[in-house]
Amino acid sequence: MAKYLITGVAGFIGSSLARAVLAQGDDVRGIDNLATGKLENLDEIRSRVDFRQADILDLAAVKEACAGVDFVLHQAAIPSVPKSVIDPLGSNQANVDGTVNVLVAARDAKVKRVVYAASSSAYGDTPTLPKREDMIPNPISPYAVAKLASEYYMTSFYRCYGLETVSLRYFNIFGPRQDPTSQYSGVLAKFIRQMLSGESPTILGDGKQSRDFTFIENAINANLLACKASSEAAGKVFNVATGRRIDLNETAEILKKLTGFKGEIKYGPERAGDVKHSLADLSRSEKYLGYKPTVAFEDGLQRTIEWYQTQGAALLSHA
Amino acid sequence: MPKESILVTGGAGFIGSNFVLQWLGRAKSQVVNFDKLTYAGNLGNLASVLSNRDHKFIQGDIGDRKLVASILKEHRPSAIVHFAAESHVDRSIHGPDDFVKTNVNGTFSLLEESRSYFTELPPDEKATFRFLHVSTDEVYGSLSPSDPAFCETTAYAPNSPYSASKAASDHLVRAYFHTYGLPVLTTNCSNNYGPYQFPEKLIPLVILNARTGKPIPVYGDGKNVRDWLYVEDHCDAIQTVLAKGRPGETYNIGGKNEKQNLEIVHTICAILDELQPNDPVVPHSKLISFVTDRPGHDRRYAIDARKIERELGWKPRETFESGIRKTVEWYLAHDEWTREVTSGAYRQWMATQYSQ
Repeated sequence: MAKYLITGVAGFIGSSLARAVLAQGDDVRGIDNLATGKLENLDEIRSRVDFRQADILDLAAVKEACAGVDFVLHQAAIPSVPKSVIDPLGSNQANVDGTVNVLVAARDAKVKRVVYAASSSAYGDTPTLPKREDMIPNPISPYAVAKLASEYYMTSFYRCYGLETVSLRYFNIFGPRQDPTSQYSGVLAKFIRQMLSGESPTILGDGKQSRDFTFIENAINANLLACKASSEAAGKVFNVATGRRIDLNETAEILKKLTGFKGEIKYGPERAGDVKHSLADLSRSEKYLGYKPTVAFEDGLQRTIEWYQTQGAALLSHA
Repeated sequence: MPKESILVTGGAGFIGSNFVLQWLGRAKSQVVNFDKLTYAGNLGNLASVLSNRDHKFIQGDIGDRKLVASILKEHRPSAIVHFAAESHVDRSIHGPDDFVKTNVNGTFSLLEESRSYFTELPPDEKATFRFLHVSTDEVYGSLSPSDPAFCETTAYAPNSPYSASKAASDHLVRAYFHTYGLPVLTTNCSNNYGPYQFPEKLIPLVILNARTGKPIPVYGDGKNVRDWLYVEDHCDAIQTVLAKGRPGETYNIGGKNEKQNLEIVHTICAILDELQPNDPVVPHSKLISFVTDRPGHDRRYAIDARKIERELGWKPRETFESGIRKTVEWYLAHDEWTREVTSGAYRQWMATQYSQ
């Protein structure tokens, strides 16, 4: 039985990882400062998680949390591109300083592997598609820079200290428990919430911008594979995505179909720091991690919408 | 060998619960959390640790000597960190009674029981036992714009029933050191702010009123000056004093953030303008509303916190800018918590307090 530490365990991705790790029969310890994470996300697994309410900026707490741990799944961050544009200092502090704290603690505790929630925003707005990991990174927003800098720290801690790390560049993850209520919510969570509540969603820009939306289960699989992969994967970066791109106009149409929303879609001004098109190449991930996306976009949307309609219904009424 | 534990009084309040969460987050030892659950105590603050094996919550009054004695006997804490107090100045002006009862008599009872407990400890436990008394810079009184900041040897000159009751409790704590040898530590901090602060206090009050388009009340001319200390920094400092402070000493804890109230309000409004552009009234600063000044309102507090830096190597991690943003974002993300605390008695209180 292995022991996993999940940072950001009360968040959207962290809580889903916790469920998966428990389901495979392993132990979960989690740390979350509950700034954006919610204890409710851990509801039925609460008693099975060794939960600490603490900030990754609290090095003493992170060190304690790493004691006896085999794998660290580092999700804790201040998410959101637009938020980092408003507050680059806060974003840097949480996303970079926080990550270095996790690495130092993991190194000292002789953790077997650290898997990092990196971001497709590392690719920026270069026109070439699909994005391959050996392309020159081009981060635009402070968030993208922080996530990329953290990847370099991941590699550095492998090169300098032998701590095995794997960075996973997530491509627009969506799914149950994604917070739809904040101004910075992921577009799918926001649109689903709005449409299920009968409100018109607003597409920022002309709607032709596209994303490689990835259902959460695929990201979970990638994390678990990253822990088990051979040492050849250590110190490296891998895309985690569906490998298919869809624009927001088409996305909105699919959502209308699935939610039954009959209203109109509104359009607003483009957002600073946003990337136009995103699509992942998954050959490297398949080669080193054995990763293959198992849930397609529309299936994932269906499952997500069903979740919001049932367990997530309380989130729908929040303005 | 049972796991070590500390006794925290007032650990369901704003500062106390932050301390308990931080302590347990660092897995330092068990916590026996003793709180009366007045209007300021909120188990919701402790949601993440209520089922933690290392956290034991006991509801009760520090003035209940039998109960305190039995807690000390059963749990044999290696330290007592005493937060329990009535703390809102405005309430002390309307009703000083509770302040003397809790802050003076309550601390006295706790000291008496601690003394009995301490006396019975074996020598090795006696050597490491600490009683840490959490107090305030308001005991030093008010400063004019050109006065030097309060340091640990500044004469006590409290002006409100609240600060007088805290000053009295500080004196008792000191006396128990000099007379009975109880190993005490006292900390005097500046104005705290941060997650879980009860919304009667300036910063959460501004945030909540601004978001809902209600007037933001500012006392007098808004130029009263306070030093602002992010609550997690304060708790970290208390841990440092507990671990490294010299018994009998007092330590000032400050944030290095002297600001006028009006500046605080404008800063919060500006952050809200960025994060909540769709609120009922924007820019949020339009809601600022000057109200009748608080009677005997201390003009300026400024804290010289160089002793803790020099002697124990502690300084705050947050700047005001980083701390206030985290605070605003926390309140924005914790609507449910806010709704739960603002129901009930709190509403009646607010009507009498902020008149035009």
